[in-house]
Amino acid sequence: MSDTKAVRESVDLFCKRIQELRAEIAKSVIGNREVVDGVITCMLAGGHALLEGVPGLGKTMLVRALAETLSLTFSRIQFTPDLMPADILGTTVIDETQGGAKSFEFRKGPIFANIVLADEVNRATPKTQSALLEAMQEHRVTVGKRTHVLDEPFVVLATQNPLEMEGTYPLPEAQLDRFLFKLHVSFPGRDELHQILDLTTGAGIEQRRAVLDRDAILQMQQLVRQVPVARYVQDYAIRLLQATHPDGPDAPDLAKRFVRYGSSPRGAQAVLLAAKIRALFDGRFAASVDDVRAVAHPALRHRVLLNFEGEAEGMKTDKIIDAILKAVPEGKGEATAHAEVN
Amino acid sequence: MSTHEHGIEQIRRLARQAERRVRLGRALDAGAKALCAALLVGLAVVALRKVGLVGEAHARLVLAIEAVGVAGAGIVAWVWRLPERAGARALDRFHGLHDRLASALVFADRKDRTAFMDAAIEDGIAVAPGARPRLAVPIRAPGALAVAAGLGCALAAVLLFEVRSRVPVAVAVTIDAVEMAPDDLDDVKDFLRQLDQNSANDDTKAAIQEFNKLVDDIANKRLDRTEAFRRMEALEERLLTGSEADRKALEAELERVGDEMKKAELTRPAGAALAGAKLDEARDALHDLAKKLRERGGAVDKAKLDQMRDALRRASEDAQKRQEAIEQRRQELADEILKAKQRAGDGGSDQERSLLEKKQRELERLDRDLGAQNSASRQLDRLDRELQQAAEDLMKDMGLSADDLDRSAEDLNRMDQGQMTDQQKEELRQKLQELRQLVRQQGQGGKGQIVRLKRFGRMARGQGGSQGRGGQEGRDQGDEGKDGPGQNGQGQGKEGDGSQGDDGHGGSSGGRGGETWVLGPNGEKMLMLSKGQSGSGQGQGGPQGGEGEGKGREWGVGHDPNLQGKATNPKMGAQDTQVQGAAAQGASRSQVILGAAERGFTSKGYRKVYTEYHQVAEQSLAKDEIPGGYLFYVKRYFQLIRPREEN
Repeated sequence: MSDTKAVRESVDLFCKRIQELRAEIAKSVIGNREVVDGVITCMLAGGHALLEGVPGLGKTMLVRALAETLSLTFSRIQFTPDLMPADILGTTVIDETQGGAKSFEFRKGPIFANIVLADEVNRATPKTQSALLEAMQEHRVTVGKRTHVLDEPFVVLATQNPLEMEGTYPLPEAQLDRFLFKLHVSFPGRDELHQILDLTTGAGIEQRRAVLDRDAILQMQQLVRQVPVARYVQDYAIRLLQATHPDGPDAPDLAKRFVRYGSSPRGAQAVLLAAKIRALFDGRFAASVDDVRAVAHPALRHRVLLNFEGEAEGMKTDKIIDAILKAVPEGKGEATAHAEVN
Repeated sequence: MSTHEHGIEQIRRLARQAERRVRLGRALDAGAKALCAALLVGLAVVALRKVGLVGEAHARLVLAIEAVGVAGAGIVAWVWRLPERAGARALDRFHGLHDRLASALVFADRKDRTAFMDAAIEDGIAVAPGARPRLAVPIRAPGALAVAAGLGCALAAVLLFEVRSRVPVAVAVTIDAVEMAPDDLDDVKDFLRQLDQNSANDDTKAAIQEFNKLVDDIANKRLDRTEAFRRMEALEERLLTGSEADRKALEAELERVGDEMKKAELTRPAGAALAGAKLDEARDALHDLAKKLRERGGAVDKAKLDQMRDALRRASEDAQKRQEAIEQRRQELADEILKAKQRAGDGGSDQERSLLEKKQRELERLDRDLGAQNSASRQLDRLDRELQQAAEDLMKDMGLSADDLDRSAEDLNRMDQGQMTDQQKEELRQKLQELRQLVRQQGQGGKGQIVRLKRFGRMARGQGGSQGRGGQEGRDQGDEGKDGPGQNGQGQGKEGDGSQGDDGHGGSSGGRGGETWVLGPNGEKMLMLSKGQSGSGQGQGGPQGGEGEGKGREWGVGHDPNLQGKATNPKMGAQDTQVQGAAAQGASRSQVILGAAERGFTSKGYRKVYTEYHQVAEQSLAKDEIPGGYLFYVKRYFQLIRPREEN
């Protein structure tokens, strides 16, 4: 029973910290609650987020605010076509001592931070983009013959502009798959715009304070991993994943027609982890099917690859995921029970 | 049970309730859909049944299968496996519990529970009391129920709808009339006509009249086979009723009377004749006795007279005693039967019933005997009275007794006449049987046989020429100057060739019919053409002595359509010749028969030949030289080839 109580206290603390974190971020980021929660989810899941939105929507501001509210190291990399991998990872230089002795010394790049903002990541060449692969997946960097482990937590928050596509290099599928979430930063509504204007054209932005330190975040990450998931919830996540494939058992017609390749197993991992975090956000002790359904879009939208026809038709992956969520029942005969409930 | 377990059990109970409601809703939904399908099929089946394309048994079978199908669909939907934790998840969905209940149940079943799982279970237990299965899983009327109701209404409408079957309008049924060849009917009519002329008895005349009516009805096609046979049976019944039995009873009674009379010397001849059923001889013997009594009077021995008186008295009394004995026995038997019936009515045994039936049969026989005895008694009654009177008068006056005997003789004469009537009835009955056989055979032969018989009948009458042909054919067929019936007589100069026709028939010398040159009023020669007017066939040639003199006052006009060219000018020059017929022996018998076969059975020569042959055949029939199975055919043969009167 004492264990249960400890769990309850941990979850309560988790919820409290999240509330504080949200409140701090909200001081400078208006609206986009889902994006904020998505970024926090990625951080707590030990994953990375790809934020997509037109310029000026506060993507960089969000990342910066997150870094400031967390007592973590933060680095920002502006991706440009001439950016080289060494500019990100770091490089080895010859260091001459006062005595005249010379030695090779590794100068760490901006990747060595807890929170890395890869701004306009699609503007760098694929070569440079691929420099992130090892860091994002394995949280380490290999330069020459030496491997450097990155400090935990390590979160890459990349942004990209969907409009200015000329001179850009779309991220390869392997790279996209490394991102836990792909978050769409939407245009704010009128009320939010009012708040933004009030905030940014007034006396000044209220000073943010760090509410979470590194240990707390790591503790929260561990707590996330302890959240149990019922078998049928996990089964639902798997069936969602299978449905993203055109030849999947529950694949809707839309997926069969427009999808070239569905999500990798990383998609299911992302979904389940995110569902757990969402349950904790809500103060619950187990992930539910609702949680899975809620995180399906950000976790899967960048993992579903459209075929030529889908591209030509301008099909959005979100629409396909909507069809998948509609087509996949929670279990055999689920449609009946579900219909009765609704 | 701890609070924890109690909470889990509560969640399970709620989940089960919800699952039952889910099953019920699913069963109703499936049942309603199945009902729609069943009603749709039922609608079709009932409609097909209404129009008669599906039998009653098949329709009922299909409807029964549908009913079972609907129930089966509901049952299958009820027992079909639900998704895992469907009830709990339904509660979670409705109450927005984010799978708290379902997860609690899942984790509760696991043995390797973590602290987080326990916390999740407690979380579920905490929210369980607020769960309401009734609200979470409402039982709504299936949407298909409205469709089913509509289909049910349609089915009811179809059930109420009465399909009007095509019943053929009752048409006045024309009977399938018995058809007989006119030739056969004419034969029967001839027979009846002759019998009627020879009959003096009213009963016989009435029977003949009824027979005639029957034949007329058949000829006019007013009777079907059933009715014809029924009428024939009735008529035969009438002819048969009592005739045979009465005659035998009468003969027996006369024999008895004769036996009694034989015992007296004076009446012995009459008695012997009576015993031998020779009524005419008995009549003569009684007349002789009466004459003797008148002439000789007291010369007759008194002992003989007493003997005669006793004999006559016994003869008159004995019949009455026998009748009374039969009547008495009949009455006794009727009483016994009545008693036996009463016993049988109370549940008699099979033996008693058998005995009762036997007695009833005996009673029926006695009734028949009594009827015959009565009939004989009626006929003998007058004779008895006369004989008794004669016996009494013998004591007083011989003359009176002689008168009585004369009257007795007259009675015997009447009985003899009555026997003749019986013979006529028997002839009628045999003819009736022949007629029945003919109807049966001609009915079996069908229309074709009737047509053949009609054609034969025409040929037999010498009318073999088929209709619609010219006068040439009439000549060819030796029809004594007659055209084919109904012809236009266009065969100019061809008709009335009686000389040739007569040669073939009666053996008479050539007639003068047909083309005859005669002297005109001014002494000029004129060709007299016999008839030819409209082909009416009025030439009276041949069979009537070969006169063949055309009675047609005008010659025909027009011409044979088969001829080319103009009609012959009758005034064109020709030699006048007056032909006088000459008597001759006539044709031989074989020639007559051959000629009859070719030209019809109408000539006098043939009539003579037929009579000879028919007599021989009748003798053979009478001597039973012809097998029984062939009797009808022999008779039929001679009936068919009998001589005909010319029309």
